[in-house]
Amino acid sequence: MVDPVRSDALEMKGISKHFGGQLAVNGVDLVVQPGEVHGLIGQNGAGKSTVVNIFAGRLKPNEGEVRFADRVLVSPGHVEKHLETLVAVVHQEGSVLPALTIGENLVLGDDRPAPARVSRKALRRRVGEAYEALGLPVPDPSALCSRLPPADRKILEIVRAFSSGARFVLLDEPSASLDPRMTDWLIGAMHEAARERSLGIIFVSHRLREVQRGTDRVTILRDGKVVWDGACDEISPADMVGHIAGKEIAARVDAASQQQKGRRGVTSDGTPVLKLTGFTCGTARDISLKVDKGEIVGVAGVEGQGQRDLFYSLAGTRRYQGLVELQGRQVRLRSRRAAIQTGIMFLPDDRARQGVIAPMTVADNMMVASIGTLRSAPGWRSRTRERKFVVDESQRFSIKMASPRSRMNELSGGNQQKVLLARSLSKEGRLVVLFEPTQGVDVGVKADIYAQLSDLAARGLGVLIYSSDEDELSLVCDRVLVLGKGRIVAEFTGDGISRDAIVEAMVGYSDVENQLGLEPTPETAST
Amino acid sequence: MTDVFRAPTPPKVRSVASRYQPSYFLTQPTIRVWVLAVGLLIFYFVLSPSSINFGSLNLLTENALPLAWVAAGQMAVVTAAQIDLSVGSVMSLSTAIAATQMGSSGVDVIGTILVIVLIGAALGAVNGFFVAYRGMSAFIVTIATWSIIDGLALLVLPSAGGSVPNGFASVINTVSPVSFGAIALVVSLLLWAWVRTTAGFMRLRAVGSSAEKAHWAGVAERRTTLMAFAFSGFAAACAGLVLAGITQSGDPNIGTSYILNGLATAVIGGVSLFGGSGSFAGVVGGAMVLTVVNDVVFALGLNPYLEPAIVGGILAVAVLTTGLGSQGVIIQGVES
Amino acid sequence: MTQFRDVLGTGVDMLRSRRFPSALAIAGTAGLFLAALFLFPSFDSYSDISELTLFGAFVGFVAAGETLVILIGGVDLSAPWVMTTGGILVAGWATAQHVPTVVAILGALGVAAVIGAVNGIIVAWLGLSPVIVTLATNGLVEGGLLAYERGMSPLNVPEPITHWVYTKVWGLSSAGILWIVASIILAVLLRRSTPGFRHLATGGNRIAAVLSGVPTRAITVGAYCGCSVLCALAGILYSGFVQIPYYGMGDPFLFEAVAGAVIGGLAFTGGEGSFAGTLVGVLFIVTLNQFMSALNVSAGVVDLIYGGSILFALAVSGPGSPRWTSRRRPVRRTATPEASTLP
Repeated sequence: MVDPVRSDALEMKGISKHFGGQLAVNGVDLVVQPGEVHGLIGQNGAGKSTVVNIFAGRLKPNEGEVRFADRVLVSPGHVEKHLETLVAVVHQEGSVLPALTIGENLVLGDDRPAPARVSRKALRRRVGEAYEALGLPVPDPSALCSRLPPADRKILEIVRAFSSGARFVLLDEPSASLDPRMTDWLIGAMHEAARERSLGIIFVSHRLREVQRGTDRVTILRDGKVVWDGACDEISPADMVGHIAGKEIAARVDAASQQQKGRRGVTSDGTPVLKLTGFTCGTARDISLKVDKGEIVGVAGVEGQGQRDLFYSLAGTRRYQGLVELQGRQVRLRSRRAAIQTGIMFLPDDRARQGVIAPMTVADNMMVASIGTLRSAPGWRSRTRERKFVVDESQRFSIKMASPRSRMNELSGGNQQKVLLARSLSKEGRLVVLFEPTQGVDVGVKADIYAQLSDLAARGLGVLIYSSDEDELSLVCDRVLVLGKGRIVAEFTGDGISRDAIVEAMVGYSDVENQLGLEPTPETAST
Repeated sequence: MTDVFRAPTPPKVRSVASRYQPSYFLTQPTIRVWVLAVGLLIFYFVLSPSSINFGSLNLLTENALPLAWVAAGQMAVVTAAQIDLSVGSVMSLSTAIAATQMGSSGVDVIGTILVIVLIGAALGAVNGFFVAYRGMSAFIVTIATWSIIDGLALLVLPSAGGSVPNGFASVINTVSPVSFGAIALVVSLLLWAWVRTTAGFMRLRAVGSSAEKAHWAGVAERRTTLMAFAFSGFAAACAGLVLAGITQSGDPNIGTSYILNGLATAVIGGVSLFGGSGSFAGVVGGAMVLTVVNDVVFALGLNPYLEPAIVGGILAVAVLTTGLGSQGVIIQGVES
Repeated sequence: MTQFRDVLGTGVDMLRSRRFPSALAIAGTAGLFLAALFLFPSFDSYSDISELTLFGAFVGFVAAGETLVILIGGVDLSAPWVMTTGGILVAGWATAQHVPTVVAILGALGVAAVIGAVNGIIVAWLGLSPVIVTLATNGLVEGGLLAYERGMSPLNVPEPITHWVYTKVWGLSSAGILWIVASIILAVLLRRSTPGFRHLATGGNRIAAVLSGVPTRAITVGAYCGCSVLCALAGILYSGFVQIPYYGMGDPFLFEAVAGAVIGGLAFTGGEGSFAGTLVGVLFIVTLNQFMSALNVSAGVVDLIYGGSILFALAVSGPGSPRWTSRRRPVRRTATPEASTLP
């Protein structure tokens, strides 16, 4: 039964948006009532971000409009000024200004004249009110945001949105930076805000379980269109997946997971590809682990448990203490080049900042790591070899692009990731280290990447992955290690690997809690 | 289907480490630059004991004033993560106009002063327009306007000369009991104490931190950047006026050394070139350092050409000491 | 044979891509030159083209050096005094100490290389801002040179250098030909050699380059080193032209070199630009200079028009300018996830 649309609902009607001939969003209708938590789900590339940006007033649609009461907020020709006073948005990519303090970030959007004084007392009061209203401990308002970990920044953004006086709050993938415990808090806070203050909340996520627990109504997007809209308890999770991914892709993911299950059965000769003993770097403490030939080992852990220190040290870009053995030989990973010499391949998570070379073409981006081999004479590039390389790698990774001479920003996120993967894997190595390999990548490309990893393992390489997607880890890995407070606190193998088990081991080790002064509670808040 | 989640009962908030431990003070760039300034001053007094009197302190602040003011303008622009290379020529133009246009009556003088600072602000606004509203690189825009404004200065006053009215000169050249420079610096520091608490300055830092994020937070980042450049021009014009008073003449080339010295002053004073932070108190300290260095070179009888080398050395040390220490575990700056 | 096709292919590539120097810069240069020919009867095309290339060489070598460094996202503000040092050292060693000319030249270039290496090492290993590092170096080199020369007034540059600088070959200045050839070689190396590719990768995204195994630190040191050597070379040539090098002679060249490079399409963000573009940009600057002096206007007007032309050229065609030829788009850059929403 659909509730009648209240007059003070936020309505999106018939919104369409295209980018250079590609239709990103096609005739989308979405209604958010006050007092309702409305979920918006879909895979990456389904149009969620476009919808979010249109609600936020950052994009103008080509057709359709966004209305509130009898006002048109957004239309092809118009974006209402100060839309953020009505619709507060917590964006995915983070909008906290590092050079400012917590208090300053909170009040930055206020409309006050330039000479007006921003007093410490006023900031303290604002910060106190805003955090307490959501049941959170109050941080130091003059703490510099450049020193805050990502989770704290995300909490700041959430607090800012809820305390801004807006009647609608839109959260775009907020749980990406939060651990399960804080996500639980967020879900509770959303419901409380919706109920007590009659806010309308849009919760965008690709994590089904959160959406199921956290929302009253759900809208599912696929390929830019709304494929389902209704109350959350009217649809089963399985049906949700079907709607999100479409039948053929769901089948492909199924097939890929079947491939993982029937493992490669590579016989190890006893020497592990990677062996760490007493490894310490930054937050990571005294870690001992090993990766065998043909094994895919996953690492799970809330942000800030030392996974970055561990992985980037293996890449050769952090100083560490402890013993690292590759194929039985002790090595010293002094630099990235040294690590490459020993056969360690690396794929970072931050495509934009650490992967994509924007001024270069797609072909060039692919060739960066192996340019030394594509030559006709020492130091002289060879067109033939380069062309062959690009063709071969594009096929191997099924990369879709208009031409090898395109710029990287013309490719979808998933294809960009494939280019970077091709780059990292272009030289023969022994160990593949990947940090969040499928972030911002749609389901179809995910399946391709999983297949690639499986292939690598079948060839006898060792694979080490960090992922914040516990489902992905249980799908792909032979073994999963859980990091907590810098140490390995749990290990699961084979059938013992499950999303729930991983989450249960993760909870209670949140750095966020330490920062906010919360004591880690012994009981867990699993699904 | 959703259970109401009760937020945990607010626990005792762990006390954050006190901000006011000794180590905190030593890390503050403003404090460090003043320690350096005082240290150099003591060194100077040791070299030239005859200078241990208020008179030389007055002279010191007098000479530091133009540098401090032009560096204040640089600070505003650098805090917005930009750069302004045209400040020197604005200074030159100001001295040129002052030396040729100031009448002798009080009204004339004040009128000319107003015109000069307005011109400075307007020229700065032109820079700001191209950088903020046309998206052009500040480095190149201000190099071009540097040349243009230099040309204007030469047209007004083809070679050093002219004269400023006596009244004006005597006010600026007051050195006893307290120099005009000292008074002006104290007044500007008081102004700064107020400015740093304003919303406008907070927005400037926001824009310097990330212009894009500031924009989406609701800050008018283009206007803020333009105002920063306008202020830089204004400050350079004021500095030029002081210079005209001190030298009692105009000179179309006088400002050139102030471009890089002003930038060095700001950097030594703790302004971060990446934008987002900076303190005028530090800038004044930096101006003191550079001015004392000048005197030290003179007192030591060194070749004046060595001064850029010494300034270069101090700059190098200043940047090195802030740059190091943040390395830690990370190799080759691959932060994540 | 493949090498030849490679070079040809490079040329075609450049024309097709946006790396080719802006059409406006070329048009501007040609236009100015033709206007001068037309307006000034004394503007004898023969002798003035040779003069253009001569002056172009002085600015051009500095500009080529700056291009090397700006391509990796840096800048070298120590160019002025490294240039002066080049000339003064050669003059001092060859004339006062009777060192053979060639050795003196190599020695001066060697000193420049060391200075550049220091710049590069500090920037690469300590990660400090190139603006500040090279600014400090500029002052330190000035002081160092003066201390070394102990205030002696500069001496003549050896005769062979002066003689060579004033030679003309096929109507172009010999120094100018050297510059043009060097620019062509650098352009080809940048696009077709492996170190050149790595250079562009470092400038395009340093961290991505590091993670891909590119030796970014060596490249950085090499860039600053190369820049200083080219600047010193410019200083030696210029000394040959003025016959007696003087302190501070390098000061005007930084401005003109960077302006020329930017007009030729170099982006300060790094990874974008070409040596061919810089060449054209420098020719524009130098032609503008000639035009100005032919107009015989006062120094003030020269500066005005100079700065104004650069601003105009940039506003219309430099990096960051709005494309007025295409549909007007808002200047503010949004973080629109346009690409990532493409299915």
